[in-house]
Formats: sequence, C-alpha cells, structure tokens
Amino acid sequence: MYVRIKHHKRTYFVECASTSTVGSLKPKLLAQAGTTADVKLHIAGKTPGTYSSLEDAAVLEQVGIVDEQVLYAAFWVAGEGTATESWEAIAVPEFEPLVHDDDWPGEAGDDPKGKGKASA
Amino acid sequence: MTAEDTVPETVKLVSSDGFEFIIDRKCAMASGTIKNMLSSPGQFTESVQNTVNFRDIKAVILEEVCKYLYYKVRYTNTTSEIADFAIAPEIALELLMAADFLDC
Repeated sequence: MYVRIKHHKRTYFVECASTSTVGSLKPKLLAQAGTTADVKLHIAGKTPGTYSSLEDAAVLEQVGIVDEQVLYAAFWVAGEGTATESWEAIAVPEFEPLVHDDDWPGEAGDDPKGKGKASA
Repeated sequence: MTAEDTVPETVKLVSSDGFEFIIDRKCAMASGTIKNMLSSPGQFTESVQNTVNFRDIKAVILEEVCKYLYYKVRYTNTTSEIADFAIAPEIALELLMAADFLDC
C-alpha cells in the first residue's frame, strides 16, 4: 500500500506496509525529498484545518491509516530552538476546481482544440 | 545510495497549476507516454531531470492519474480479486482525456 504525503505544493507517494511504523516512513520520505532535515508527519484532525502529529513508534494500521491516505509533512526550520513555532506551518493549497461551462457539450470547439494535444 | 532500489528511482510530474507529484519510476512507466518521454535517446530535459511538466493537466486530474498508475501496477499480472477504481463523475471527462494522452 502507499500513502500520499503532502507538503506545500508537493505530494510524495511513499510505499509502505500497514504494519510498518511512522518512523520507517520518514527515511523514505526524506530520501525522496532529497533533504536530511528532520520531519514530522501529521494526520488530518476531526475538524478541517486542524492536524494532529504522529509519533514515530505508531504503527500505521493502529493509527487508522489506510491505503492512499493523505498525510502532511512539516519540516524542521534550521536555526531555531525547539519551540513549536519552528516547525513549518502545514499549508497545503487546495487544488484548482474544475471549471464547468454551462454549455460545454455544445461548444464550437474552443475547449477541445485547447486540449487537442491528446490527438497530436 | 540506500538499500531501497525504488527510492532514488522516482519521477516528478508537474501539473498545470504548479503542483508536483513524486511517484515511483515503475509506476510512471505504466503510462506509455511518460515511458517514452523518460527513455528517449536524446538529451531531453525530461530524461535528464526525471521531471515531466503537464501544462494542460490540472492537479486534481493528475492526482487521480497517479493513483491509477499505482492501482495498475499493483493489479497487473495478479490473479487476486481486483478492486474497482472509483471515478467521480465530475472529473471523468478530463480524466478520460488525460488517460488518452498518457496512453494508460
């Protein structure tokens, strides 16, 4: 199975087993991210906009992480103390919504032409 | 590098709105178009940097594409029961066009 770890505008797809721990996910993420800074993983809280952090020793299955679940990463900002403000704020922008024209089935061909690269 | 052989072998797909998706290379290869882009004999940016920019695929669609690539790799050549891949109707059209472009 795999999890999606989001950080700012990036999503990392990291493979893992449901019996593996959060601690084993971190080195995989760091290797993909190409950084050696410390990272903390979070899961979405009950209310939107809140996050709860995950302990290294926690087993994914026990925390309730299923296949394709989204986790959030916060990297340690160098030069700071151990205050919690030093962790990056988790700011994952929302994807752009798809735009639906009211009369898209009858469009003269503007949109399909724009996406005509598919038939190139 | 490390003992993992899939870790350095990742590919970055960039959507039209600047979102990046980092996936395993073997899953990216499940798409014929991406496979061709990455293994072309010339020194294209894609093959050198392991990055492909999709300027007409939005992040919402690209994320579904990445999920599908993992789904495809997991169930290819297996005899176990294959779970359905659910597709929300509002993205189905754009996902169809992207799938056609990516040959997957």
